[in-house]
Amino acid sequence: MKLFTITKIEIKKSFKPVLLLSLLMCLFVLMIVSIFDPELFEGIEEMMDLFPEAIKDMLGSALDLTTIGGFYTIEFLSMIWIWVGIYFILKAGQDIPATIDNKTIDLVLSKPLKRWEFVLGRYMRFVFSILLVILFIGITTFILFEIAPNLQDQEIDFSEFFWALTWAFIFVVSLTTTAFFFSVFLNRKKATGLAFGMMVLFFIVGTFYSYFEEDVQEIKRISLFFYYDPARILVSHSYENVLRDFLILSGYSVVMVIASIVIFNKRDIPV
Amino acid sequence: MEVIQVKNLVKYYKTKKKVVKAVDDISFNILEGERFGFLGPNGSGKTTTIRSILGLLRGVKGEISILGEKINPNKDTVYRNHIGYIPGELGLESELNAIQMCKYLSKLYDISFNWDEIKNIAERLKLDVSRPIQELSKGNRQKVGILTSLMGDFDILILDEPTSGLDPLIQSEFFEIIKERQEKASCTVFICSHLLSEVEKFCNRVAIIRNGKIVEISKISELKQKGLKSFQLEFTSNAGLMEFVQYLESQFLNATVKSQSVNRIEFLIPPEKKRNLLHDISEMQWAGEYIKDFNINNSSLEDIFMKYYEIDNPEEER
Ligand SMILES: Nc1ncnc2c1ncn2[C@@H]1O[C@H](COP(=O)(O)OP(=O)(O)O)[C@@H](O)[C@H]1O
Ligand SMILES: [Mg+2]
Repeated sequence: MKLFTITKIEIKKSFKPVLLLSLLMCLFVLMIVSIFDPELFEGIEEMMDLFPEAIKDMLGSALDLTTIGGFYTIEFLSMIWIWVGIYFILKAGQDIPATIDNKTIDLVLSKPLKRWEFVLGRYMRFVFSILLVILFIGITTFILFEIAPNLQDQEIDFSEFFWALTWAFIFVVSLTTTAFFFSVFLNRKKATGLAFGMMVLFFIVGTFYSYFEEDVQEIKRISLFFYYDPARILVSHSYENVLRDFLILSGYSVVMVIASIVIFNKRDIPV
Repeated sequence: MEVIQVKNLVKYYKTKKKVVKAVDDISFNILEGERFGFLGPNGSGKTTTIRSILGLLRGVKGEISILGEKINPNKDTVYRNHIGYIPGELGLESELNAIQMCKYLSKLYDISFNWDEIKNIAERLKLDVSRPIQELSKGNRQKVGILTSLMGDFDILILDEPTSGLDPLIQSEFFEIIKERQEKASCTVFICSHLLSEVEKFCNRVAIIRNGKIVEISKISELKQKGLKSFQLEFTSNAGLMEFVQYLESQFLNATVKSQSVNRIEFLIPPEKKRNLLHDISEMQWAGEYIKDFNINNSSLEDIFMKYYEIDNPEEER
């Protein structure tokens, strides 16, 4: 199918940077695992109490640095939108506009390739790339958990980490989809700018909503960040509403991709 | 058979400030095996017409038929299998070289990659296929575009300013390649250009487009016959010339003066007026004297074409 031809070609083209990102993330996980020391953070909770509430909110509800689950969440998973998300937002926001700017799109779309195949093909490349990065992270994580000497007395539930990483994957995809959506009708600068703006707004709303007036607090529900809380699994060991959040984030991505296809199908390809 | 039929094609671009009537109700047919030229100044709507046919633009009104079948360029895509295309604004994957680019597109288009054929054309165009496209000059990039457009089988070849950036030798080689291809595969060629010489040499028939409207469609040979007559006159004095100019302005409203000096004038008039004018020139006296010398030519196609261009920019003419 044409769709996968495009995906394959595009993955091949961006394989090196994605691989590099994956390796960086693996190193990062290695670093986190190797500096983890439960005793080091024994007193941290009392210390954290001195921190303003806002900082604590930012770090997530999991201020439990004494378990690897909490440590991994705070240092890595809750920040995944910075470590992995920004890269993909930048790429997705520029992807289709770049083909218009460098005019390669004329050659691609002048042949029997449907617009939806083009859009979906290019989108799938991001999904697969993100999957690859998360897969690398997951494998590294699991291997390190098995062999790291400082983790041998930790109680680690692998399935919890599996679901937390899956959650991270769905979350990064939803952020990327937002940027991709803007890119089908805006130019690169506007699309990436708007996607970043949205992300920051989502972050602020999803993290600090408790400071808002009581009756506008429900605004938290518009934020993607509100539906991403790996600490729930890794720290509180609870799966409450996790399925709901999975479905909302994936549903959001699906709707945005369909909207992207519809909008792109209606537009001129300018010269 | 009509290979391309376009009826009442309309495409306006709506920008924030204004509406650009890029293509404003044009109709034309291109017959099988024909080499049809689409001639017009920059910004006259040639590229817009082509990109409307190829389904790259939306909000296009009118009817389009390809190979006898009515198509909806917004939905149908299969008809594009029959079309080879060189975009006016060529965009290539700059990090690839020519071979990789061809391979890439053959994969995307699902067509066979015929290395011998590509190598042959590349050699004739003097293109180094192993150098990355980003290192190539504009002309050499254009050659890559030509290579990609000639891959696979097609019944129609749509060329949008195909020779831009090519030197004259390569240009004629390019037209040779297209002609050979046409003889071999009997395809139809639709070529867009702002250069008359190109179209004049290569095409059987031409449409002249200006401001989004077709102002003339005819065979090149007919166009030449329809051509204006060019008169060059020499008078003995400036007074004679001035008197003649007055006469010309009063009697031949559609004459166009091409040049004028102290006692010489060159102008164009429609062929049917030739006899009248000739008579008057030889019989009448100008400021008391007969004309000193005169010369009549068929105007070149260039002149005819310039006339269409000039109407385009009446301000600039002065
Ligand atoms: N995307 C666009 N938005 C607004 N106007 C455009 C756009 N593309 C082309 N035009 C205008 O449409 C007219 C026709 O352009 P074009 O078809 O490219 O001409 P040509 O190919 O004959 O040089 C020009 O006046 C051009 O400025
Ligand atoms: Mg053009």
